[in-house]
Amino acid sequence: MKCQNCQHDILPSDKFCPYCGVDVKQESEAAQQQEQNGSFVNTTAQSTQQKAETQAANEQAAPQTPPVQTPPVQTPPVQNPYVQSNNTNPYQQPQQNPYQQPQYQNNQYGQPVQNPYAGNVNQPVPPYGQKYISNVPYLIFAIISCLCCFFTCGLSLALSIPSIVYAVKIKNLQDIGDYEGAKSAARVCLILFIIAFAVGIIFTVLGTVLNISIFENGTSYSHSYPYSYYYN
Amino acid sequence: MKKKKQFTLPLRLTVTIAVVLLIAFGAVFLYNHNPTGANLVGSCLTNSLFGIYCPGCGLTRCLYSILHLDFYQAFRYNSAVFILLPVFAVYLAIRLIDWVVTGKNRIDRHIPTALFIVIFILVLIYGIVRNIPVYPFTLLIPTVV
Repeated sequence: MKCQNCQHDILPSDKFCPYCGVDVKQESEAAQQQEQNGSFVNTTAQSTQQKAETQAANEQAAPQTPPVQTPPVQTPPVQNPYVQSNNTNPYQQPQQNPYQQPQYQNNQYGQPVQNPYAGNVNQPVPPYGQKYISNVPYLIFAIISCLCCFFTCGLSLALSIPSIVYAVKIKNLQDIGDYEGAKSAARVCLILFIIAFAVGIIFTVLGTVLNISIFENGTSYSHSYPYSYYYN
Repeated sequence: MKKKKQFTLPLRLTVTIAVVLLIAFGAVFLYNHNPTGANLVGSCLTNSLFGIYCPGCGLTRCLYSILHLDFYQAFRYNSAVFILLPVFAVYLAIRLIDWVVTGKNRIDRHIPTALFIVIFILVLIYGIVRNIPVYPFTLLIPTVV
């Protein structure tokens, strides 16, 4: 299914287009109803004059698209009563929804704007009601777990590599539009960091106990300075 | 439609104060516990078992030296952490202030992902290089000045 406004691929279950914010349901329903109304008018119209009138009215209604700023109240009066009754219902007027207008496709500088409410043009718009997942904290988690490997016998160093891969994936998946995939990647990142940290705490306790016992034998901290350093 | 979590201003302030207090508590604890002495807080299994230096080796001693304003000693314990710590601290401070004031994240989108990948690779290289037992690289081993 494609959005009528911005031509992006969208899910059939979407009520609003995730790219430009257009009310998709409303648009398609309104289009259908207009078609039905048109046929209804055509069948009930008895004289050719009336037919001509409806056609004229339809033509008058159609060019309403370009003037964007006109609010629904200021619509020009339409002669045909059938068409008028159709037009007075505000829910059936997709033409007057300002968010569907092509002016939002390009701003005055000629750059494409996906969504007028998105702060940054480069940032993909997440589904309605969902937040954009930033991958910067997860990248920092990965670097921290790489640095904290001295607690975990090299385990967190090993975990930090898949962690940073998934952290990069979060952004890439969101750029494609796979929000659920990005969410699960973020979860994997967090789990890896928690494992690295939990194992780190266990190993710290273990290491403290072990190291003290090794310490008394004089073999610990063989690096950097002599054993006698501690007792000077 | 999913319900959105709402962080009001008092809640955000509370969380921020809690984070700052936690960091302050850790700093005070580390200030009073010398990790180089016999009363070790946490000791390294990797180093005692395999005899290698991880990229994070000397981190606790580095932080301890920074807290005691002994910056050259901190740099000799772990130069990677000594360089990265101010960067992450500034990032955390800006993020927290921005989050408290606006309730949004307006910082992260300006930071390129490639920067972190470069930092990660540099940290890994640092971890390898400090294990080479040749003169200029032996300077990277945590040493007492």
